[in-house]
Amino acid sequence: MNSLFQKPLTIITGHYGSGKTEIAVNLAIAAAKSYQVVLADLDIVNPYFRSREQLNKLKPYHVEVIGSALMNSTLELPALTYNVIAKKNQENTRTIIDLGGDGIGAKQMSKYSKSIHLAEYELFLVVNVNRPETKHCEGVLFHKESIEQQSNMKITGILNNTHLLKETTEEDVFRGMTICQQVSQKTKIPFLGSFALETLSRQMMKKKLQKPVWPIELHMREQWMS
Amino acid sequence: MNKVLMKGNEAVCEAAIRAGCRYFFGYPITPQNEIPEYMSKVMPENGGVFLQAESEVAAINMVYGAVGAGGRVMTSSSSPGMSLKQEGISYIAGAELPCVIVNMMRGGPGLGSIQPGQADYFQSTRGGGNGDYRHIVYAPASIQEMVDLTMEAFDIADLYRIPVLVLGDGMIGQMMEAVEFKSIKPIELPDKDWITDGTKEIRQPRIINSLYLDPDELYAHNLRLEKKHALIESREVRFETQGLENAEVVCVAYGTTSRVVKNAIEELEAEGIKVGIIRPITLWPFPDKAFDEISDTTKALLTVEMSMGQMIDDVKIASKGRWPVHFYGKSGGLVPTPTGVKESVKKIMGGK
Repeated sequence: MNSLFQKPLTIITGHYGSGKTEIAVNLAIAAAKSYQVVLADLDIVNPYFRSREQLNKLKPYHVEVIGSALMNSTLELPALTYNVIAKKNQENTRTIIDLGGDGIGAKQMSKYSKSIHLAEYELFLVVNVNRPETKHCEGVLFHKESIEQQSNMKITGILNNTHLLKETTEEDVFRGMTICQQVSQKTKIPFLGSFALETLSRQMMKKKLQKPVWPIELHMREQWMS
Repeated sequence: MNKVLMKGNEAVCEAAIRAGCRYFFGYPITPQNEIPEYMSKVMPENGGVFLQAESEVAAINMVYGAVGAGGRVMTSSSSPGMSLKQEGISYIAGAELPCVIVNMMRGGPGLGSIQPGQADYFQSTRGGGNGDYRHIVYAPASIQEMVDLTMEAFDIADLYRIPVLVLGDGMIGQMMEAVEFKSIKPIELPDKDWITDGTKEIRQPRIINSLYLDPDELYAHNLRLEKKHALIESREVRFETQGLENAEVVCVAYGTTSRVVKNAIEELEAEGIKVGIIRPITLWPFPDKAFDEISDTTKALLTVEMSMGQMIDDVKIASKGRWPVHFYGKSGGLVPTPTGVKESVKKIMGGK
C-alpha cells in the first residue's frame, strides 16, 4: 500500500458507495507509520459517514484530521484553510484528501489545482462496480470525465474497491478488476490494484495476481451495522 | 445473486419504480435528498413524472391530485417537512386514497438537526393531521427490508385505499447495504372505480372530497373508516421476535435501533444474560399480539428508541400491566449504543 502515498499529496475520489472514505482512512493509518499525516475531509456531498467522524479512532495513530465543519457541527463551510495544501511542502509529511463523491464534490479541488504540480500529487479514482452508476466501463468513464472537468486535475491512478461490504466474494473483486482494466486501456491511466477485507485479501494474494489486493479495515461502519 | 450496493435513499426509489410508481412529487430536505435526486433521473427514463414542488404542502397536494386521477404516486420528506405534509395526509386519508409516503426521520423538534432520529413516532402513528384517521406505518430495519416493504406498500395502499408511510431514519436513508430486487407476489386488487379520469360522456362525474357537511353523513363516513382500520388491524400486523423463550428481559425496538439492540443481545448472551426482542415492523397497526408470546421467565420490558420515549406508550398499552416497562434512548441526532442497552438491561436485573 506504501506505493500509494509516495507523493506529498494523495487525493482520493470516487462515487459515494465506492468506499473512498474508508480507503482514505486506511491510507492515512498506513502512512502514519512512516510520516506525519494530515487527513483532510473535503467531502461536502455526504452529510453522514464522513472521515472527520473518526477523529477519536485516528488519534492513537497521530493522524491530524482537518474538516470544514463549523464548530464540530453539521454546518458546512465548503472551504479548507490553505494550510492543507501548504503542508505538502513540509518534509516528511503526507497529506491525504478525501474528496467528495462526484463532479460536484470534485469541484472543491479546482481552487487549489493551480498551486499543485503534477509531480506533487496522485489523484486516485476508486471504483466499485457493484454500484449501479459504475457497473460498466461507460459509467466509470463518465464519472472520470466529470471529476477531471470539475476539479481541473488529472486522475493518475485507478483503484478497484468492488465490494458488497461483508458479503464481498472473490468474484466481485475480479469483476471489478476486469472493468478497471478496460477503463485503464481506454484512458491510459494505470490500474494500480484492488482492496478487499483482510481474509479475502490474504486469500487472493496467494494467487500471484498481476496487481496487488491490499487489505482494508472498515472504520466507518459501526459494529451494529453488520 | 443479483445484489447491488445501494444507499437506502436510492434503494427506496428503485423499489418504488419497480412497483409501478410513476409519479413523484417532493421537496428537498436532508437526510433524504438522494430520493428526489434519484427520482429526477429515473422517473423520466421510465416514462414517469418527477416534479420538484415549491413546498412540502404543494407536494402532498400534488400527490392528492395524482392518486385521485389513478396514478401510483410517492412523496418523501424528513421530519420538519413531514409536519408540513400532515394536512394533505389527513385529506388523502379522509378521501380514502392510496399513496406511499417516505419519512427519513431526523432530530427534532422544530428544525432539529440533520442527524438521525425516531422522534416522529407520535406524528406517524397518532394521526399527525386532524380527524379520526389512521394510516399504515412500515418501519424497516435494513435497506433490503425497506425495498421489500416499499414494493408491497403500493399494493397494500391500493387494497385498502389508505396512505402507507415507510418510516426510516437518516441512518437507513444514508447507509449503504447490499440489496436485491425480488419480484413480489401480485395480490388481487379491486378495480379503481373511483378515479377522476374523465367521464368520457358515458358516466356520471366522480367527486373526490373529504368534506361532509351533514353530520350524519360524516358520522357514517367515520364508521366506515373505523371498520377499515379494524380490518387492517386484524390482517396487516407485522413483527419479528427473537429469543423470547427463557428471556429475563425483553427489549422492544424498531428500525435502526433494533439493530443496536440485537448487537447488545448477542453480547449479553455471551455473558450468560438471556434477553429477547420484539421488533414491530408495522408501527400502526401495532403488534399487540406479539406480547402474548413473552414467556413466564421475563421480569421486565425495555423499550429502546432514538427519541426521548414515544413508542413506550404503545408498549405499555400492549403489555396490559403484565410487566414493568423501562426505557433507554438517545435523541438529538445521537444513536443509542449497544453498551447503553447492556447497561440498562443490567440495571433492570440488578434492581429485581
